[in-house]
Amino acid sequence: MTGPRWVDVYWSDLVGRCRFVRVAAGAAADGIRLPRSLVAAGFSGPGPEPGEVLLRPDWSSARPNPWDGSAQVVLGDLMAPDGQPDASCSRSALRAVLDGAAGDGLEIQAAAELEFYLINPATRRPIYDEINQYSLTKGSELEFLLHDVRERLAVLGIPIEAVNPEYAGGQAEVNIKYTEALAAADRAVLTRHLVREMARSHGLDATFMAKPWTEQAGSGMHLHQSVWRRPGRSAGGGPANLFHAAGQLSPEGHGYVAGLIRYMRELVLLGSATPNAYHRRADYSFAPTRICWGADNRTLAVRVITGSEGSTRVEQRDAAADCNVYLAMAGQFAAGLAGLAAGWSPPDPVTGNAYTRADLPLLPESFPEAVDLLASSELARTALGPVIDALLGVLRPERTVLVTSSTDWERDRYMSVV
Amino acid sequence: MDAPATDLTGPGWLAAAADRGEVHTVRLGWADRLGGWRGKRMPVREFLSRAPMSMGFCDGMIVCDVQCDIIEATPFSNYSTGYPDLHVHFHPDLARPAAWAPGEAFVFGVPRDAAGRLLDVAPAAVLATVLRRLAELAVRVTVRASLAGAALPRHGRPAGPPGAALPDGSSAASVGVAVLEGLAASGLPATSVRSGLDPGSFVLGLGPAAVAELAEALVVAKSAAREIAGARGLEAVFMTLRPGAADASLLELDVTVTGGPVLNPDALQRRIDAVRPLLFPSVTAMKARPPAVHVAGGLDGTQRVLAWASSEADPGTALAAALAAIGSLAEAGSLAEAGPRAEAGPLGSPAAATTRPAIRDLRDAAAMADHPWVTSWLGAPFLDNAIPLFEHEAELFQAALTDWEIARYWSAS
Repeated sequence: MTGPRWVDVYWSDLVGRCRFVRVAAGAAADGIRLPRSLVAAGFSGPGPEPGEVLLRPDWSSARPNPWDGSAQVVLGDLMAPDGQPDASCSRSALRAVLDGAAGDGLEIQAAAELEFYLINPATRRPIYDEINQYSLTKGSELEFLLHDVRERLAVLGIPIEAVNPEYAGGQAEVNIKYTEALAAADRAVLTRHLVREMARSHGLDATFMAKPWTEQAGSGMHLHQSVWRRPGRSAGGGPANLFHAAGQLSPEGHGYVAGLIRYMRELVLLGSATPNAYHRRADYSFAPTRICWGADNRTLAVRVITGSEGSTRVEQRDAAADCNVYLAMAGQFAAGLAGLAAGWSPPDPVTGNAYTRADLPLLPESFPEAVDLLASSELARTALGPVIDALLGVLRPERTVLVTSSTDWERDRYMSVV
Repeated sequence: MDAPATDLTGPGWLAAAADRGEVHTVRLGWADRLGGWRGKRMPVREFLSRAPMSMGFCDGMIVCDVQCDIIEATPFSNYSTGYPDLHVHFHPDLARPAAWAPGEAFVFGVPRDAAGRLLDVAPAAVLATVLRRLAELAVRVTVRASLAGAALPRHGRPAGPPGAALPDGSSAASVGVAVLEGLAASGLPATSVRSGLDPGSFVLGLGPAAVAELAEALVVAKSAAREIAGARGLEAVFMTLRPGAADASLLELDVTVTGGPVLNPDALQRRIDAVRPLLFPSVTAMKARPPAVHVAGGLDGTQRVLAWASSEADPGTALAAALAAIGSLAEAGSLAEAGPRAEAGPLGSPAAATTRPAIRDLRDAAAMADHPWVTSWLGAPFLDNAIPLFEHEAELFQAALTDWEIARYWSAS
């Protein structure tokens, strides 16, 4: 019996687009050479640097291709000629953060909730208008796609816990089952890509764009995360959730939250990497506008959910659904782990309506502000390494484009009156 | 559900069905205050690996309006509370096949707080309270229900006589039959379907059944009708009044009461009128003029009460309101109220024709709380959240410029 004939290697570029290459199985073992201009491309075009990088399959992530029995799917890492992770490899940046935690005997478990719109490509509008969150009846109209999503992704080793219509017409949410963090990121990257592919097979578009329409809800990636201590070789039992303390958030959990809070502002670009993402962040939108945390409360940036050991976790609610998943996770984990290691205490938890709390610090309100903040972040460079400068290199032109572009909103508002 | 009704359910059924490849997805759902069936879909294997399990949902969806808009005036949940999770417990032994949706099963749950207490704003919890109060009075009830709706071309009006073939070859009758068969095959107490008076209309019959089971079955029935009609290119509509329709779409509640005093139909009518927004929960529904309440005494000592709600109403809320009216009369002693006694016979005594609703539209919804029995039986938390939503609905309508106004005044002024 022979193995699959082909290997489909997927990777994420710096701005979060999932890309893939299919190669003959025998040709993948040593990696696949790719032009650097492709892997370091921004929204505005190819990356400026010449040369090549090596896409190296991570065989531990191999899984069957549910559409094509002759191929298997695998995630890849981008390697520089010296054999080290390339600066453009966001997956490697996440792995570095997780390896650091593993060195301390810690493992992060994570799960992404992804929101997206299904769009009629002819109208570029959602496939229906009415809001019907959680409606099982309305959800039946999405089953032509979402059932397929659940079934196919399961074959890919991506268990989808649940799906539901979200808080806008044509918007849905998929809850991916939690797992070890690198695998959780891989799951989110593949899910986002394959939802779009499956929508296209039905003549529709799916978009994870942060804020497609002013008057409609944005699409976020709520990231659920918890830190577990691995037992030593001599110790019995399984890993223990460090956040869990008799139904409350543990001191370690408070430290982790403190790190998330302290670094949230400077790392916000990692989860909101387009100018559009800053339109999503509006009061009374269920997207956070202020840096704060507390118990189960959807107006906060960090929502703590306590319960059993298996369910106690922290939900960071700021990232947009169109972010680079690896970088958003890497930034959040690095921040949280820094707080956990230092034993920091977070500010007082917030109860009530955080949108009215003018005393709380604001999240960055614009893309240029977020670019400048990341550029000056010591934690980002220390924890995530050269990927930060690579990311800034492809996002800075976006700031120029933003500043020099005239939009339809501006024409509608000003053209006839000034 | 109160108890599994057939061998389609029960311990092991879902796992066995999954093993046979008959079920791939489970709907984990609960009923909102407007009778909407909300929840999430989960792969059956995932559910079975975790069940019994609880799942969290944004609690704003139990105090939202018909378009899922949330308002600040609902004390249970608003931006000041942060819209935390409500929790719903799902047990695999309560799974049933969603027979009209091949490959799917469903489990109903009841919204609770983080400590596992029933949410007193949830219709299921209010209904449970009412049933407990009735039991304490030694009053037992079983219910049948008739739910009227219509299967229409999307965004259009039906052509031809009742049950006539619609343009794509489907018909309201065939939709109704498919709903009946789907519900019955799901183990739900659906017993009949007939054509209504108007083109496209149908009337589903359910029960007799335990009250809570019937309430859930009605929620499922409306969803199934919408799904089946949608799959046929049609739209199932339960809006109370439709253009050109002679009949209002009503939910008839046929309650058999055992125990308690003889019910006075006029007194019962007044109590039903006092909670009219709960039975007719939209500005359109409030325009309906349903038949007067009927009370008939049976030879076996039982009493039969016929009361009506809009088909738009949440069945659990409507049942809770109607049964609270009956129960509160039983508690007070019906004979103490003026009016004729019920007469034996199939239709019994209608309430006096001069009875007029005390609440004329949703702006008057707060008047419900003027009646101590309403607060006592349905609970202040439930009313304190329901009333602002009715007032909000009335305010939206008041602020709206309607096509009727345009047609009537545009050229005349």
